[in-house]
Amino acid sequence: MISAPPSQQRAVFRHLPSAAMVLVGLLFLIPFVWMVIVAFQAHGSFNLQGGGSFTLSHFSDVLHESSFVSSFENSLYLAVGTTLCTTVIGVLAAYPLSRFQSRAQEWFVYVLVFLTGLPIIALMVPTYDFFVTLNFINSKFWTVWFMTATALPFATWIARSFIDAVPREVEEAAWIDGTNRWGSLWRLVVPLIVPGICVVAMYTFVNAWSDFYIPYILLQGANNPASVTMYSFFGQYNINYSDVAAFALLYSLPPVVLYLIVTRWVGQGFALGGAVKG
Amino acid sequence: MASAAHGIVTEAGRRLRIGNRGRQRLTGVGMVLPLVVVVLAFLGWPIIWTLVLSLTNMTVTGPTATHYQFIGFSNYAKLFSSGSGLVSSLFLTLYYLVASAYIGQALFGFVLAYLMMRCSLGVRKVVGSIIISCWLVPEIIAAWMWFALLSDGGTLQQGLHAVGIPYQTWLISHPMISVSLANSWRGVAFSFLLFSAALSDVPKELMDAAEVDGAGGWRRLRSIIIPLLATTILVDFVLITLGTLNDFTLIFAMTGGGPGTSSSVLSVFMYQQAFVTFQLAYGTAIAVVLLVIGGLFSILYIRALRRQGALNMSR
Repeated sequence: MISAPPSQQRAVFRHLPSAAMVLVGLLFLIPFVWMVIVAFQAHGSFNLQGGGSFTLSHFSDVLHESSFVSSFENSLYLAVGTTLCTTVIGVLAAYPLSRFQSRAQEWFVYVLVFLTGLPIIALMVPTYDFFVTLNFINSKFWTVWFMTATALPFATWIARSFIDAVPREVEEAAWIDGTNRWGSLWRLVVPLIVPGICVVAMYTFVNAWSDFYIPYILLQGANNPASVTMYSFFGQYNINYSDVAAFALLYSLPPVVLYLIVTRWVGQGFALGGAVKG
Repeated sequence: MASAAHGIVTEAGRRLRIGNRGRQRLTGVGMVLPLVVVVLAFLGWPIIWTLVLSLTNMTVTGPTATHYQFIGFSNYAKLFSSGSGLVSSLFLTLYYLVASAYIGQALFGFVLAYLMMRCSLGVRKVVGSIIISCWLVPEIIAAWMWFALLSDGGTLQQGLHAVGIPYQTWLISHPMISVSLANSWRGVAFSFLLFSAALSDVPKELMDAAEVDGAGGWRRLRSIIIPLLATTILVDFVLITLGTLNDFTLIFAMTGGGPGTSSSVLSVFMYQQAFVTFQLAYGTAIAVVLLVIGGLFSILYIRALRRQGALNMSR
């Protein structure tokens, strides 16, 4: 009686998913909107009322506070160090795991996959003890090595899938010419899997940049990265929320930007395929 | 001609491989050696050390910090006795898994991926980017945003009041709902991406044929999509379980496991016992429980991957 004509009904039905997803997108945006607004307000707080006028001063506050700047430097040290070590060691190990076949290699892959699922948080207590005993505690250098070890199983696993996609025939001609495995890996395989290496490096960087509990437990004071500095703002009620929001915004940008650049370049399906399809 | 030459190259390559098997094996070992050294030193040793420490009475400070003794299974006896807090911690972990991982991430992620297939390209790109950004933001930032939104005077607290839900300090009155909400918001992207990729692999002809045969949307979902996605669903289930078991930052930062112990999931419970009450060894006994649960799910993951053919060695 009052129902719309069929064609109109179908049109409504067709746009329903889009409308629902736009609503979901808006809801997911709420925390970001709050953070961005507070970061640009003169006197931001937990609610959005009466925060004052627009200003960029909080960003300059953050960039002029030496302890904030050094926490970003520490994050960068940990993330870049972990990414470099993980990518080099992971790709190197992925090559024989992809190319050689043996019983031992098969078990190696099982152990690797098993380790990707290991709850690292469960290892923090003995690692803390281990670092204290060896006087590694509060050393960014050794923290990088622990973070590398936690990142390696996953990185090697996805690097292997990228090397699998390179046909053996590419290398075989070179072997006949007398090139050894190291040579064919470096000169033939690596150039072909540059996009895959970027994906490995991106995932490692994003995780290491964001890591909280490893540096929280293994590092102190002036060596703390931005994640631990951020934690120190929790529950402090006499702080400038706008400064914290500006700090949070600056700290959040690198992983998002890096992800967008890499996935735009290699394609999202590719980036994801390596990561989760095996 | 080209394929014949190709065949010769492959044949020669194969012979070459066989000819140099010994040296080749050595090269392979050399290439995995750095990985083996780093993983054994920084993961292998802590795993063994977890097991060893859990049998001692080590503390963070005091005389037993350095002169600890082996006390057998006392830590486990204490842990598994009533009143240790283990049972309530396990229940909270299960709550967190079901609410934030299975419902908030897997189910919700599937629904989003399913709806997204029917959206225009523009909506897909923009909304997809928003969801992925939630996942890319450092966890501690996600924790802070939700902490602020749900705190007294926070925007969300006021927003919920506006739609008729009484004023309350969410982090205190409903800590598990608060952290589960934050974890769903942050983690749904992973399941969403996984299911989006799998759904795009479902042959369109199959769906069209089913539609011609009169299968409605629900029937197509149940009879075609879910069976085709069975392995993806299993992989997603295992991976988000492992991720959620390993999750510490969000809860630790938002509620600290409180109020009291009302949001102390296993990882937070372990941290509190080891570093807050300084019973390092007792904390490692909890870590062993966490490792065993994680290990069981890791084995499940290996089996799922084998089923998917991802561990196929003859490539």
